[in-house]
Amino acid sequence: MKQQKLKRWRRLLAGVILGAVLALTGCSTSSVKSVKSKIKNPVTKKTTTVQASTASDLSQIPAYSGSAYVALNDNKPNFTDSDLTTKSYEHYSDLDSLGRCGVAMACVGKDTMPKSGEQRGSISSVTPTGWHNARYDFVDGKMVYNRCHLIAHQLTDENANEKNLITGTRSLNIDGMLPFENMVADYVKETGNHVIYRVTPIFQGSELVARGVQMEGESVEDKGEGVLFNVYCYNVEPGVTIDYATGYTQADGTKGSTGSSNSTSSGSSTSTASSSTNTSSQDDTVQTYVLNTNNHKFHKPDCTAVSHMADKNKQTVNAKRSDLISQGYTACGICKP
Amino acid sequence: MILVMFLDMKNGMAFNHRRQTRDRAVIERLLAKFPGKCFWGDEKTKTLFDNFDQAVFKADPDFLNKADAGDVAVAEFAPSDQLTAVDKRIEQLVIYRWDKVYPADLVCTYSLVKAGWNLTEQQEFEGHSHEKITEEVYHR
Repeated sequence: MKQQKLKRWRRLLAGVILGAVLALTGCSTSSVKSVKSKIKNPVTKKTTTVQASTASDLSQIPAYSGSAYVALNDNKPNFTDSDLTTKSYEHYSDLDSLGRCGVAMACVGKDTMPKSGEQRGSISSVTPTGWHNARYDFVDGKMVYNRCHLIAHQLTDENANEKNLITGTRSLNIDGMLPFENMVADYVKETGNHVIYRVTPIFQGSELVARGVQMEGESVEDKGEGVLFNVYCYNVEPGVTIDYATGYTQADGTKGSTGSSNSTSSGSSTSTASSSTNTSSQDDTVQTYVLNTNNHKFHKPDCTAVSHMADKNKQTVNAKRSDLISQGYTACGICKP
Repeated sequence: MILVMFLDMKNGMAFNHRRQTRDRAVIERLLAKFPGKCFWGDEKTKTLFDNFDQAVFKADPDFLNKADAGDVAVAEFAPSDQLTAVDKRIEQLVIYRWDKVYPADLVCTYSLVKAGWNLTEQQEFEGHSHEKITEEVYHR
């Protein structure tokens, strides 16, 4: 009880301070500073120099090409010296006239995080702008939209806070935002240090669904040595075309066409949100496989074919399925790994 | 040499020249697994061992070539082509696998399959700040 009061008090104070700072710096959802930035593809390490991200500056962000995020401004966040405090706080912007979320910012410390073993509460009572229940068989978890926390539950213990939940795709949630949330959470847990953390949803014009989010983070006590990033995460879902003005979706035919009607109900049973679990697709996460180096088939370890395999042809590795295929291996027809 | 790497569930190694994550329990485990061994790595990796008095750690930019037979080389930030270049000198491979996906712009593409590594031991343990870490031991 005492802790809840303390948390409320901290939020109030931080809100006042941050509100003043934002007013002075002009920082808002639609006014992320326009600066010359390097945008780096995180996987292929291609580097391009482009103008950086503002809501009106989305043309400067490279079109989505398979990577869930790109680095902005060589990964240097736009925090001011006064932002870099070691006093934990959280701030969530008021919703705008269209009901959309704005900048969310926090100084994440052990004291803002949920207690060990604490489960996230229900968030289905919140219906963010542009929300529709749309199901596609080819989407991980089936539902294309998640209620995406701007600042993850694992960082600030926030549940059904309408100022902290946007309509985000499964890909934005799991492949874009979650890795950064994991990195910040585990850094804070291991070191006891603080991370200044800001998430800015980027809306274009009066659209109801954000085109993406800008995520910035910097560890305070070690001056960014542990954590330092500034990235743009795409609010897209491969195989799905999104009408960002309304939130309606349809399959684009590249992944499949199985989908359902777009309903606007709150979808209490099927919606999910940013979480600390890992549910990336099976293809590009590491699993244990047994390879037959003679016939170049790969198997699950418990496949019956493995017990008949000659030892000299057997190789066990933890690898990505996609990597095995690219190295000339094919999946066993029995165990279908 | 014995090669040690820290990888996430997508074989990610680092992001923005920084390690993805760390856990002191991994270093404790390494020191217990290889008592008395000489550890090698770069200057950044040395910081992981700073609080462990018993560790003998040599930092050198060319640590992959300087580590002798039986030494332990911790390759946190080494690009995969550097690993491939010393492949024949690697006697044993130990991977500490984080049970999560972190951001990555340095990914391990060193092929365990092509290099002929065989997973011989796999053990899960709880870290100081990570619920599950897996120690994977490979031999050829």
